[in-house]
Amino acid sequence: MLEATNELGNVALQAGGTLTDANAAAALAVGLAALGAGYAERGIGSAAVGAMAEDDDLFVNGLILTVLPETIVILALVVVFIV
Amino acid sequence: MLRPERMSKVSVTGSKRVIDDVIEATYEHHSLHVTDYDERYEGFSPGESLDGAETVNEKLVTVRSLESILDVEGDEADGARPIDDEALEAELADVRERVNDLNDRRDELKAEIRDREEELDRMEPFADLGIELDLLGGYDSLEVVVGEAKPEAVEATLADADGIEAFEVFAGSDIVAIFARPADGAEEGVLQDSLVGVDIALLEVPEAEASPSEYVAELEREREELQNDLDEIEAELAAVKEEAAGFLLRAEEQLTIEAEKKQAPLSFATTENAFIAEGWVPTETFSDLRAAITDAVGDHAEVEELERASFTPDGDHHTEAVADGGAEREAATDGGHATHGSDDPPVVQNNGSAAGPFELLVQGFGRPKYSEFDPTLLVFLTFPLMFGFMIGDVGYGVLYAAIGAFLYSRYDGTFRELGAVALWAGGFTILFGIYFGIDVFGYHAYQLLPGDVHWPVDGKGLSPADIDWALSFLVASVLFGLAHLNVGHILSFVSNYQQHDLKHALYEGGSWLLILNGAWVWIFSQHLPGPKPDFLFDSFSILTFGAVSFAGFPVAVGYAAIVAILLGIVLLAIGEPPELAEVLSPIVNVISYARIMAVLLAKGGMALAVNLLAFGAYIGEGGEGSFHFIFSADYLEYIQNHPEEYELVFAGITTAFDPASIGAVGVVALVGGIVVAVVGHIVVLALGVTSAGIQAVRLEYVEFFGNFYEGGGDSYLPFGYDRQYTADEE
Repeated sequence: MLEATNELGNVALQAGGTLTDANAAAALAVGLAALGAGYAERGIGSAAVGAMAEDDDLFVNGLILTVLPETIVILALVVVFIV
Repeated sequence: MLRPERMSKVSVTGSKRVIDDVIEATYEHHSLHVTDYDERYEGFSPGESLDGAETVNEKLVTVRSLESILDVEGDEADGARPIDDEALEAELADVRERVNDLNDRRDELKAEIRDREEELDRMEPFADLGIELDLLGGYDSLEVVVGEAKPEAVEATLADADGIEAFEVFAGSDIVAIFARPADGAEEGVLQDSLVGVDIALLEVPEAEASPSEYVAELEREREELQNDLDEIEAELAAVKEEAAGFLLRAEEQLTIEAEKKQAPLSFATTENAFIAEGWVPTETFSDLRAAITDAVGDHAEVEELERASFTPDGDHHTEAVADGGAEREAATDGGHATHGSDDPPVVQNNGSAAGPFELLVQGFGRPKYSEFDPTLLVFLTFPLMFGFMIGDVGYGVLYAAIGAFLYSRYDGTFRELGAVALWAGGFTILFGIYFGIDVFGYHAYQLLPGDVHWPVDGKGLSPADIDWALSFLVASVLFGLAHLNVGHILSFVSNYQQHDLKHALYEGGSWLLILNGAWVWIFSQHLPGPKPDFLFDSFSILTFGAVSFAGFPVAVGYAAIVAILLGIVLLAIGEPPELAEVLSPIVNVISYARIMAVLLAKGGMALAVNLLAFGAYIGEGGEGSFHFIFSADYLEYIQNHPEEYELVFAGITTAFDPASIGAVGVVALVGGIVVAVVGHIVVLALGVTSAGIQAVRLEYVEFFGNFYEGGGDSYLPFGYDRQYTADEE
């Protein structure tokens, strides 16, 4: 298994193309970060709505917690400017 | 401005003979935030309600229950006027009788309708089956089962079952009646036993004389009649509501006021003949309150300012004694000033009329504590700025301001404050719209100015020609964040210094200030230039229109910055070791402000896309310049004929309309294009609130408040009532 992965890496590096293009890799990084942020917000959002159903006053807390992971994408954006 | 209004703790001490008058005067003055007596004085017990409190409360309960039966919500008021006690009692009795009577009948009817419906639920499957009820049971040699199941499944199971000699299945739409003859020697209930494996919900056969379908018809008829009766009762109740709602609202208010007055002594400290009421008033209004009480009862009550709460934390050495304490205090009721508790004063935010509405945003996070800085002023200075920069469009700005003006002039309370916030946000949106080239709904209106104007700001950074601006706005966002966070950490430093000492302030505020500024000075220095992109430094010249050129701080400053970071980390490690885990947050939080530039581009891009669809656009200078909109069919043709000069992005919908030869397609395109433009801009406008608004609020709440602000203060609820439905009798 490990060898196969290694082999795959070698092939990818030799063949070049998208995976060795720095811009494409940066784009991939931002995309994956956005996916991660979205996944995180999915859980937080549903929990926040659940909490709000119990107590309306939690709206602001829910809002803050829900938007917290967005920063991940913005941090990933820095990568775009550095490569 | 950064502090709430100063509060004074006062005590009102007097003879019980005048307790009524004192309560009346205090209530009228509406300024004393009464604190509950916590049995801290020896010989004083908590007071009891005044006589008659119970009757008032009973009436209040009656009024509220009537309001809830009639669905009175508060907007049915019919003019404020005084109401006297006798009239109240008489009318209340009358209304209660009528409403209770109607309500009882309504409940009865509802219960009867429910009975019919249950019966219907039970009978409907049998009506559907179409077999007389008396045929579904009472056999010697047959077993019968009725239930909801799929007939095929039942048949398949029974065909294989032992102990069933013969069977027949009658099926309605979703109900089956199964008749089976058990084999000789089979036990009773063999049919049910053999159906164990089938998905079947068994139904009990009801006992009724009539055939199921007739019975169902009769039940439906009865239900109909009952429903008619119920509708009549509802109409009568609505009529009563119409007539009595205004009275009920007045009565509720009157009784609430009475009840509050009667129950006031519950939070007083009392002896047999005297009482002490303690509470907070804004220091400014203290003398006014004293005058009001003295007016009412002369020298039978003593009003005294016990302390002026200072903004540093509780504890004796922090509170300022009031000058006239001394002798007068000893003369007061025995034990009256033994100790003051450590209760926190309620918070009245004091931000003036311009910044005042932004208290709404601060309170969304939490009302400031008395000992905390009130960040409202800083929110007022930064929120509209961030919002305006993110949207940056005269057209949208005017709409936001118009919505704000509407809310501000039409409503009271929260909506009015929201309106004021929207007005400020809209105003700054207009200002930044002008900055970005008099953008009106994404169109650079400066092109319409007479003469060949070259606008100094090329745009928001959406076109190939002004990509440098996008990067410059990124740097500007980050620098703004750096300044914003510095303010936060400085406030944290100051409040730690005031509440504790310099050492704490250095550990908790100073360490972060050193790390924050060290990190960013290093980033903007020439030390290790390799990975630092050029735009970090070029932006300064772009943003200042060439006035300033900045190549980064010298390498020596870079080293100094690294020393500052290390010093900050050391301070943090000594003072707050658990927070070492967050040592990167000064960098992360500042980068988080990059969202300002990101939203700017996203909103600008959306407006551009809408206009591009509707009106068509090309990029000048052979695809290297900026976006321009096309608008007319003639111009589109001209663009298409010069491909080397203009790169056509999209021809546009409305450009199919040719005034020279008005055709059906052209008119449809014109209407369609305008619909796309209007709907598109409405979407951008609405998304502007949710993205720019929420992102700006988030920067305030998470990045900014996180440094120094907790919230959680008590709100100031003065003893008294703002009459809404009743007029004062005087």
